[in-house]
Amino acid sequence: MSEQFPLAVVGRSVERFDARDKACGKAVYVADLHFPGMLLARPVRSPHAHARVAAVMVEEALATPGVVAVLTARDVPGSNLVGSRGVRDQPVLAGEKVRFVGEPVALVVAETPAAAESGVARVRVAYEQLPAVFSPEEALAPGAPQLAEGGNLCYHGRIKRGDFQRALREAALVVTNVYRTHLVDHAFLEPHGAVAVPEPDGRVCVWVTAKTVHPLQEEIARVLDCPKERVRVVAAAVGGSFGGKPDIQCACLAALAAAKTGRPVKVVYTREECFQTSTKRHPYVMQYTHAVSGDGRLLGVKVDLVADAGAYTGESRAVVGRGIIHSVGPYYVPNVEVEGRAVFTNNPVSGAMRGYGVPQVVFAHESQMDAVAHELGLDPIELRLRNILRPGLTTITGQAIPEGVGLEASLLRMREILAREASAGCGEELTAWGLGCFHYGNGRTAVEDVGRCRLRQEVDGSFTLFVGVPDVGQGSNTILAQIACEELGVPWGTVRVVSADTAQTLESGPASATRVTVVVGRAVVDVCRRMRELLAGKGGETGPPLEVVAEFRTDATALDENGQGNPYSTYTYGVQAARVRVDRLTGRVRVDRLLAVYDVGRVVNRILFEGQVEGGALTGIGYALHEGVQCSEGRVLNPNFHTYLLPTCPDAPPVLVEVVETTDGVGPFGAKGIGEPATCPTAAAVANGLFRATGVRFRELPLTMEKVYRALRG
Amino acid sequence: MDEVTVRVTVNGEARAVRVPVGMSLLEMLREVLGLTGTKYGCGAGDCGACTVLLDGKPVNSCLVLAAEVDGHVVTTIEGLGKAGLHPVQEAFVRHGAIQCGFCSPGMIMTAVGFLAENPHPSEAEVRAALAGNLCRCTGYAKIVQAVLEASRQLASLEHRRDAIRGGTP
Repeated sequence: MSEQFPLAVVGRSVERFDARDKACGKAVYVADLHFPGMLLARPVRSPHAHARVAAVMVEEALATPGVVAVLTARDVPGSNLVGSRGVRDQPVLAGEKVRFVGEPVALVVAETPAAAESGVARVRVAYEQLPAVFSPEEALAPGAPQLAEGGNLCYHGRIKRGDFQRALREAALVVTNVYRTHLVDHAFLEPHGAVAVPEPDGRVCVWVTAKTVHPLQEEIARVLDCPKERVRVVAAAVGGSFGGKPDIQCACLAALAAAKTGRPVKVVYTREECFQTSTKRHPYVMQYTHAVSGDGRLLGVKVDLVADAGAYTGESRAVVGRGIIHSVGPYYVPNVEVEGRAVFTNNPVSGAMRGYGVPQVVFAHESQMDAVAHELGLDPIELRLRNILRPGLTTITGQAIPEGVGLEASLLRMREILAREASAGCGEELTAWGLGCFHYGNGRTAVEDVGRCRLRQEVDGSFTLFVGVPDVGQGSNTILAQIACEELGVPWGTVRVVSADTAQTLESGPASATRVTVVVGRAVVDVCRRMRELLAGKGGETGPPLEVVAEFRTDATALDENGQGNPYSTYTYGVQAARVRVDRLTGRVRVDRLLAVYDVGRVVNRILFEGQVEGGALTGIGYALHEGVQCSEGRVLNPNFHTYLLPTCPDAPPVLVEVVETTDGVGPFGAKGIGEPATCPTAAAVANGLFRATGVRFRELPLTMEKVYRALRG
Repeated sequence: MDEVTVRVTVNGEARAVRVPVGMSLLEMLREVLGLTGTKYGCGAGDCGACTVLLDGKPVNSCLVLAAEVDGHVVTTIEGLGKAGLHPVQEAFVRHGAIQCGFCSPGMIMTAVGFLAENPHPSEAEVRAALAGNLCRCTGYAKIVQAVLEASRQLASLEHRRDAIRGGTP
């Protein structure tokens, strides 16, 4: 482990740049934007999960007072198909078919919200309903309607190493179980929205709430059939993303309407629209087989994982790709057979949600580990210590673990903390602690991930750092500025940040994949190092202010046909423990204390770091206990916050957050990311605590009161 | 469409506006008066992002008709701490209780209204008071710490004010 010497700015809990503005209601989100002559646009959405669009009749809507335009697929000048990550299979406005309830079929553009609503009611769409499928099982059955040209299999990935069959023969203990996880929503407080403003020179400026702007610029340009340079995309203040923003259709629709009408156009989704039409966490069905030696060593693991991709590809390939890589957990397993599939259905599109396919597998692999520990009569921490990845060992993709990995230290520290924590139940409550141990690759999976930035010296001696990645609320602008001040050797306050404006920033990838600290942070270190060298070279001479650009590329590699390679340049490791209390009489489960020990290399800003863990852990508790999108035949039955139950303030347990000080040296000053790691192990810890408290193993999320009540009565 | 005149004091200023009868207080604040600090999060009174003070009490402005506030007093986030930050705002900033910031105006207004009624709350009372304000980013931990700190700041300000006026020490 490397020693960590104290730094001047990195490591300090400096106040984040935008805190005061946000506290005063001065931060500007897309819905707050107003431009002279601005129109409002409302989508017309399919009530059917799968149907042919025979005709869209807009005359009556167009005749409605206040309606200025009604757009359909015919009005898209360029490409009507968009998508993230290069797979463009989702229409901006449905042309021939709709594949999910709520898919947009037309857009009504009007002077007022009331006129827009009237217009929407008057658009007549003739649908011919088609047979639909609502689960991967249905979709893969023979004779099932094929949703895409290539069939219903969206993605198939595998990881194979060693000889699992031999491990099975040699095992003293074999544990096989099926785990199921459910549909949950990002539930960011700020709904989707976009405002597109035509500029006098013929360009269009699109204000968005998004985790990325540069790829959106490309998509909009393709839709409008114009050069990229004619489109400017700028992120307004973002009211939370958690992977779920932008809604590409929303941004493209606003741009389309602005191009057609020549006026600014605002599109803002209602909360119901967000629940019905925006992306969700992939439901997984996972079969796990653990082959274990008599002394608790994992000889082999077999995983078969099927994910519901929903109606279009979205980010399913990368989500399930990441899921299978993380599927056995942070353990050394020499023999594995992992298969992962994503399947199209007529459900809402599953997409990127904080954890990106990993919280589901952590629930499964940690439940398996807990079951193994229980069978062998081993302490859960002891079992993990016997199996965790250590320097010199390899992951299931064959990646070698370097020095400076804090997994063992995290577990040992957790053991110390647990030893002094109370666990006794009282009265009608059964109480127990549950553990969830995990790892999370920083950066985009199995590709050379690139971070870029620009640094400009100002005439007053301050600096401006231009970064392509939006601050989605986690405080990335602030920590990147801290890294910059540290590397430049200047006091805090000397560097300001301009982010997420395609006219000013370089493409630097999205705020996702827990990549910003490492991948963009390293680019910031490099650009500041170059600036220092140039400034030293000038030797105090005056001259034009300097401007420097830098790029950082990870050493991640693609995976071969057996899933072998180095998918990430570094990993965050950690363990959470949840104290679960169960009411014997009602089955109600609550978490009244949460412990978290993390190896994030070095913490850049302690308060921001804690905020991520506190927020992520509560999201994980919601995932475990009471959140759930009730989807029936593709329709969301609970599209609001009184029936989709988010954790509220009284639900939040106290969270103790600790870090172990170690680094593998990859991140800026050794720092690694926390955004998604904050939420990955929580549901697993809660499920394991529930087993320890009740003696009943639950293998399906969420762990509702009804399920527990029934199980307690046998 | 039928319209109605609403005479209301907003952030200390007397206003008179003509609005459609069905317009909510939230829409009137954001679209007519240009006060966009108050947010639309759900439109159904579940999330609290639209919280403002109506005669000093926190309400979900998405559930109040603009017409209902005729003759009343409304305070929004823009009306807090006109000379510098209000102690609740200051505490939110200092404790890291703000991440994406979208829930913050509503959360802060609820806290201000609550502390005016209950100046020395326990942690449990603070949590119960904020139960109607949803936050997806912070896990509420630093929000609760901030409100408790603000209660101590406000209490000490009151204490100093009383001492200056010659009240009880």
